[in-house]
Amino acid sequence: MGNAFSRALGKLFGSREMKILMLGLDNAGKTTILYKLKLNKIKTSTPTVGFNVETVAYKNVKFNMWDVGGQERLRPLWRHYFPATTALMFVIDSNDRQRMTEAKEELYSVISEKEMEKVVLLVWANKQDLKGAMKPQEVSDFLQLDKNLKNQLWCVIGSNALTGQGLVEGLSWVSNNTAKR
Amino acid sequence: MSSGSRQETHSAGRLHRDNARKKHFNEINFDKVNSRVLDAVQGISKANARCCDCNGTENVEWVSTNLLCVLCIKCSGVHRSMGSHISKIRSLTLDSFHSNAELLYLIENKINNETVNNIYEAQLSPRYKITPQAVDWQRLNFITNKYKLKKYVGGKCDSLQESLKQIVKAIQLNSIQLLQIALAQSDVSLKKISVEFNATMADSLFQFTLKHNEVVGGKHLFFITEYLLINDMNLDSKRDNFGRKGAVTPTTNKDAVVYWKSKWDTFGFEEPAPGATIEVTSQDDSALQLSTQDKKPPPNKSNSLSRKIVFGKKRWSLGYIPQKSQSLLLGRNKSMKPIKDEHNS
Repeated sequence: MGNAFSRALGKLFGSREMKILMLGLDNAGKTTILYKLKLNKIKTSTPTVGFNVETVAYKNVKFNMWDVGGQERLRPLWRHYFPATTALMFVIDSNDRQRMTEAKEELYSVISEKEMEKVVLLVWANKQDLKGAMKPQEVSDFLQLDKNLKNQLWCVIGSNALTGQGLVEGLSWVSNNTAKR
Repeated sequence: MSSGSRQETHSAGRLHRDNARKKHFNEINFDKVNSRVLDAVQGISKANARCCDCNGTENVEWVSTNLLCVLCIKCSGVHRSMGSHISKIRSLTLDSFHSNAELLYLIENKINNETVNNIYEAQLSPRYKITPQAVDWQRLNFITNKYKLKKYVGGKCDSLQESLKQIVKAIQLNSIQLLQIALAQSDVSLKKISVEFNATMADSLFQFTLKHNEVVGGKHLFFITEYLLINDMNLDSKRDNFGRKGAVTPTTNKDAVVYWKSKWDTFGFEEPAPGATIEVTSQDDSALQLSTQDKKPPPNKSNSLSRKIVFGKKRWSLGYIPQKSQSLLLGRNKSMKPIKDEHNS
């Protein structure tokens, strides 16, 4: 009920609030992205055991961003964070080619969940600063979202959490593509 | 801004957060099954009770699978920040290794901080070693020097042939420890070394390593191969593995084929192809652009670099990328819209 009320208020004043879920394999860069957006700083981060949640304001939108640890045994817990999610931000370590297939499988297992069928999907091909990293287009081709996703809006963006490259573009894309919800 | 916006978070959200937190920790706590792996690691050497880098004793539950050392959570964070080509971090409690028998074997038998420090701190005066109280930047400096710049490694080797010789010798002796030394001392990446090996020998390096396995419980365990793959050795494509003279064939070693297949399914798509290279540049601060540049492909001695990967339905090649420069962001999105509309109508 509180939810509906604040949404109505938000509509009146032209501001919106949405829940964003950030998932991805361990060491993809989720926490680094979160704190780069929140504080514009690089925090030396330790592996996330549990989760972080922060509110990031961008233009007139408040993003409640949930960053959940990505280790294998934490992944079954991801589903507890699904309800009321507007957008899924899936972070990929573009430099770790050996784990691309694992990342792809995890991504599909999340977006094929019933609760996630209406979310918009943003994939961050992170760590573009590293020399051997797969380019956003390569990551995009590898994930084959165009072939497999019929009902969801999606986008792959290259990012570098250390410099912030690509991060604002991501938020802006999410904000533009969730306007009518 | 932080506190203000937090307070405005509506109550439903907060309730949901609390529930999530509860569920989260309930599910983590029951999970002590993995302590077997942790116990095994600590049983290998006394040195494994302490963090390999800072000597700390708290939360020493994180391993680097390519370096084969065990770390505290803070040092593991620094390892992760160097990139997976320097150190691949896994958790002994939060990751599961049971689907990968070779990796499990390596972790339960070969993790040894003493060995790693004998190699990576050979030329380090003990007083420069960091302590558990080290602050972030000290940790970062020390660990970067130690593993990325290899400043304290003795007997560095910058010759490809020499490194190759050391690695082949280590493989023949089935010795992970000698491999660790050879890899630490080599300035040439294992990727380059394996390309060189493949170009000059009848077998590929991958096939050569498969012959050096151990039989555990009636099954071949390819831990040497696994260790080198973790360190970015080239994996044979479908064609090499069955087409070459002297290659491992299903009749000679069935386990080897099963092993290769499982690796191929996991990361077999990976293969660089010469031709177009793509660079992402950020223009101003707003848009990311993709631009392609035609670069001359490097001369191709072994054709291992030029083939396209076709495996099952997967098809992956750089040549596929469109040559015109294009804006990445919105092109993708637009291409989705017609499909969405079709569905709605």
